[in-house]
Amino acid sequence: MIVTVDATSKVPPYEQIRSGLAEQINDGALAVGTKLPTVRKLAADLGIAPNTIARAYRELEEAGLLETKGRSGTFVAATGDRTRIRARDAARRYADTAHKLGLSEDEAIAIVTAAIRTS
Amino acid sequence: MDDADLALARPHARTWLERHGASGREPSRVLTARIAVRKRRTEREMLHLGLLCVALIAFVLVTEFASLSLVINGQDVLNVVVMGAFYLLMAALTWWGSRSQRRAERRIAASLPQRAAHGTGTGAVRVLGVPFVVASAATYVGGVAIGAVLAFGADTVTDRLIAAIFACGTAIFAVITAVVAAEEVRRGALAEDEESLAADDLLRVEDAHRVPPFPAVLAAIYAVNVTDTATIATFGGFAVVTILLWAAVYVQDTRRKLVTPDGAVTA
Repeated sequence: MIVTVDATSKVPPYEQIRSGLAEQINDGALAVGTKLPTVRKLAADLGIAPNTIARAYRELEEAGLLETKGRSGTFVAATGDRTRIRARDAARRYADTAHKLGLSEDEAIAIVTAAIRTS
Repeated sequence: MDDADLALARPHARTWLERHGASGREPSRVLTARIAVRKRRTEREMLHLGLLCVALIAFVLVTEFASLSLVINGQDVLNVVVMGAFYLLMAALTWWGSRSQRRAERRIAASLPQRAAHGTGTGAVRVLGVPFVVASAATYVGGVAIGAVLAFGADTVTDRLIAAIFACGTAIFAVITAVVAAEEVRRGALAEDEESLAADDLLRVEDAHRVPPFPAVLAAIYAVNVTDTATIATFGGFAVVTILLWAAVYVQDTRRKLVTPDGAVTA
């Protein structure tokens, strides 16, 4: 999961960062709840102005892909990935059922793995 | 950095890659330039150490002829104070070396057409590693605590003075180590792709761990200068424990493999 900025590209740096992060969030490389680097840190890493990173983050936030939790930082938002939310909810329901049936953790995981492989 | 400098540094870059499990790989231009900067820094530090040793020998000769002394309670503690100052100067020079290295790396970064960074945030403890945090806490917090306790509790005035100097010196070393480590954690990445980003992660850790544990050496020297058996045992024990902890940190650093985020070992 890396972010790159090409200084020789005609695409503005904020757009390179925005599209790079959006692509990684949409394909699941950056999972829901993943903490992103701070604006200052990413700006220092990429050697560009903090305002450029702030603009990319702001646009991703407006698109619902990122969320800022006060001073805790910026995270990949759950609203940006409905499919994974549904999968996570289904996993929780399954975990509850397995727990009620008295299955061990290893056994429950083995059943899911087998189901995925045979589907 | 011109091509001649890079050619000279390439064997060192290959050695660095071999040490980190990527033998047979050809070092990139960025990595070679960065290793060249570190090599130059090491050479400069060796020169400083040599000059300080010459100054120390000159001081010893002068004291022989001019009979300089710092007598406290009938005991001459001048040598102990001078040794403390010597290590303090070395620590300051290490910090200055890290600043100068960073300036050189900023010039390398400015020449890169493409820059890469991690897409996820990482905490300071994860970057520095738990062994380093434990060794630092034992050395600096433990050192200041031992020095402070002995400064009030040692039997003789000389031992108390030595302990007070040790506590103050260790506190200053702690600040220098913390500043260097914090600067390394915060500094921007110097990478153009995934591979150079993995190398940058390793170099960051090595640079953050670069300030030697001077209080351990100082404690070993002070252990033979104090008079009370309990104080000797305390300084000696502290020196042994901290040296073992730092040895573990350096062994771990040397064995750290170069791994890209996708798990592949690479150059």
